[in-house]
Amino acid sequence: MSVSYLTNQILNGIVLGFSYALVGAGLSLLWGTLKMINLAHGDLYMMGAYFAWLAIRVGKIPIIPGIIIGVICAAALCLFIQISTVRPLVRQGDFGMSPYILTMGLSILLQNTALLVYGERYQNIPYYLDKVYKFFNGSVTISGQRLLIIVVSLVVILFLMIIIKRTKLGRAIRATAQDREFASMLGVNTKSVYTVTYVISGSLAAIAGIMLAPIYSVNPWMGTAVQTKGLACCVLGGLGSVEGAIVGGLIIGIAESLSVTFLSKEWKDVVAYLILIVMLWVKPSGIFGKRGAV
Amino acid sequence: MLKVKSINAFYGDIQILHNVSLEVGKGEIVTLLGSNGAGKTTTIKAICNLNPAKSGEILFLDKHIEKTPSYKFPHLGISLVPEGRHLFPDMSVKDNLLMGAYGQNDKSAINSALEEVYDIFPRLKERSSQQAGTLSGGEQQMCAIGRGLMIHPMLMILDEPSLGLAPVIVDKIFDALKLLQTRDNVTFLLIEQNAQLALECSNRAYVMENGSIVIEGKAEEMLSSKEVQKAYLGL
Ligand SMILES: Nc1ncnc2c1ncn2[C@@H]1O[C@H](COP(=O)(O)OP(=O)(O)O)[C@@H](O)[C@H]1O
Ligand SMILES: [Mg+2]
Repeated sequence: MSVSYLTNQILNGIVLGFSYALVGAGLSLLWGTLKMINLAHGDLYMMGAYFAWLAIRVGKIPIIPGIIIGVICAAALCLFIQISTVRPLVRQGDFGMSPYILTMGLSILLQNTALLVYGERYQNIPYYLDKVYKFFNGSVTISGQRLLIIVVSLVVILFLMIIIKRTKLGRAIRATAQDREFASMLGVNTKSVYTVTYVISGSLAAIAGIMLAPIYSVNPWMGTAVQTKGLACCVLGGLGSVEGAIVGGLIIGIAESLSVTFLSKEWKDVVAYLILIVMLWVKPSGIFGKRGAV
Repeated sequence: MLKVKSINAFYGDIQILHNVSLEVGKGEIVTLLGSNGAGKTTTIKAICNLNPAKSGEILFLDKHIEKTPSYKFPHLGISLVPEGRHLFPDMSVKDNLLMGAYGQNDKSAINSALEEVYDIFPRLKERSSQQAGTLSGGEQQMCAIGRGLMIHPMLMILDEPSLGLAPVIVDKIFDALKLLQTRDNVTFLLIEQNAQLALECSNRAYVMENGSIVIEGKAEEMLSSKEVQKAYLGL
């Protein structure tokens, strides 16, 4: 096995890892603030991919505006879901099992809506950047699409971190996460914070779906695997920690890619979940986990 | 300034407050006394709309505020220093104080408010970059009060500020409250179990039992009242 082959495999792992990171960051953000697991998160990833497909393939809109339209439609869908279903739940205060049941129902609803509306045929989107880039005299090659995934993920993650750590909205999110009742007494409209958090979280999943759609085909069930993997990355990194989800995503992505290289394709999920199990053994709160706050 | 007229409040189906009425005049320090579980915190939560009252009226500066959501209270000029302080443990002292000015946008006003808080509690300045969760109890209470001062409140509500603190620290905190009353004309609604101390620095007081106000009057009269002495001053 040559070094360049290995480098390429690691690069593929990083691409995969960033897509997990985007999905996981949204899940963790939601857990950190609303203390709920969104079992329909993967389906928002799927809906994002369909919106981009609708815009680009069906609507024949050029790629960049098509992607933007896809993200906006997904954000609008999240807003609708939040206001119509999650908000009434938050009003009740103590959730118990209800978020799981609600989001499981949403997941079934979204998958079946997609099936009814778009049919069961797998759909394709052309590569957004159909070029091959070579580095180090051609020893490392990467397709434009994969490079684009890395760049877009990095930009989105950076943007998310800046929002959380440096802006007023971020302070409101962190304050609400740490002490919901009292944050409101300081002037934080916690209801809006919840809405914004849900929309950000779902949009992150949708962006991942949109970016990966050209590589994997678009279908109503594409979110299921991503959902479990995303959750695994969150738990590995420490549920509630956005940084943790990103690191967890990269670890699992690279590990999967390496296990394909050294073992075989069938082993990749085994290795991914093995890492998770070992982590839960050694440090159940995850890499960055402590109190489960953002 | 604050008028509460016969409010009834519940947790679930259980009624906790029964026709509670109280008043806080401008510039006063008013104390709400009562043993553990009497309903003092519940009264505060009803006033601040954190657990809204089912019936009754609440007026601030003669305006109804029963329906005002709690996140608008800083705009009204009301700040709450809650029971148990509720600092953000993972944020620095400075960030906690800045959260107190969350609704404000004027940077220079925020900075001068911060300096004023540091003037009153120099200790907080020394600790400004430390995580709030690692402060001592007294420092945490100072931080919670400081955070409440960031908006230059007209009315500050303090829920058991002396709880669990050493007497020296408690004195320091009460001195600060006195200073704020005389110098900045801040009005206080103070909740205390430490009746002696609270009455000494208050103008008026209410005593609460089982969710109802049972005694009200001037603080000095209460200090000498047999009933209060027996029940709350351990004399
Ligand atoms: N969140 C809650 N849910 C149900 N009951 C509560 C809750 N908080 C307080 N109580 C009950 O309400 C009563 C008054 O409590 P509280 O207002 O906290 O008393 P105080 O502040 O005077 O010590 C107590 O009997 C207490 O058990
Ligand atoms: Mg209390």
